[in-house]
Amino acid sequence: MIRRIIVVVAASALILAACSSNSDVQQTAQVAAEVATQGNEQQQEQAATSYQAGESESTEKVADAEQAARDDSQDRETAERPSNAADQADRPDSAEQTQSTTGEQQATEQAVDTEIDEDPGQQAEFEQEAMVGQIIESGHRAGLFANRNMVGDPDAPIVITEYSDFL
Amino acid sequence: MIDELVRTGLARFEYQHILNHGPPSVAAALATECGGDQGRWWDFHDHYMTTNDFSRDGAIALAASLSLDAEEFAQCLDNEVHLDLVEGQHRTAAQAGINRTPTIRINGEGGAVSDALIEQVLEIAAQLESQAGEGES
Repeated sequence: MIRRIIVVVAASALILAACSSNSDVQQTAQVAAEVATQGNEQQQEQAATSYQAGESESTEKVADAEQAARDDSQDRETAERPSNAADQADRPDSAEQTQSTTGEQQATEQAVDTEIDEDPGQQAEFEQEAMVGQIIESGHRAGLFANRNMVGDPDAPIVITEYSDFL
Repeated sequence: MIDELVRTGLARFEYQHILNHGPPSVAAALATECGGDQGRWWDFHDHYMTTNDFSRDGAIALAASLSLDAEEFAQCLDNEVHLDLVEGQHRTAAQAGINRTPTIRINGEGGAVSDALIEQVLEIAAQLESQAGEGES
């Protein structure tokens, strides 16, 4: 019953949206979709609670909740269609969205550039960790060229020094 | 144990040349440093330790077998590029009273590898961990 009311409310909102100006269409449709979603979520929570309590009707309510979820999906698709149509009809809004998208892309590119700038330090750190790990695991000290006669953290508080002669 | 300390960043391991046997010791130390010039200090050192041929030709042959540039390596050896470095290490060690090989020093102290020395390392490590714990709290 609640589900039907929600669907009716959503449909009414869509009709109102169609009668409104283009700028309001998207917002109205979103509100309708949110209302439908919230209603169905409440129904699903109720069904889940009944199921956990072990009530005899729990199976039916869960089935209702599943059906409601399917209906909700259909409702949302329906709600989105007018907003898409409005977007296509309203060129200025589309242009603004395009500008917004371009701005977001630029911001993303800047973030990627920043990450790339940080990469050399991180890469050196990874290489040093890998180098030490290789030494520990294999006992072979290959790859220590960067530190010549030293291995490990240059700032390590313990310095172990071996004094040796080949002969 | 040393591996664990190095891996965890508590310790670093260093090697210093001692030239107790005169020119042959110097040549061997120079060969290792020339291997380091081509990015293979430890690789050359480890392989060199297992050989009994410390002659010039032996060092060059080892360099070639490790895929180093043999010509560049020979030039480095002949020009004694790292003579000041290896002699300096030996001189510093001698001034510190180090004349036996191998000798291990931890933070400048210690002698031959012994249980007491290992105990000392573990105590230092425990102190550092304790200090780190106090710093966090």
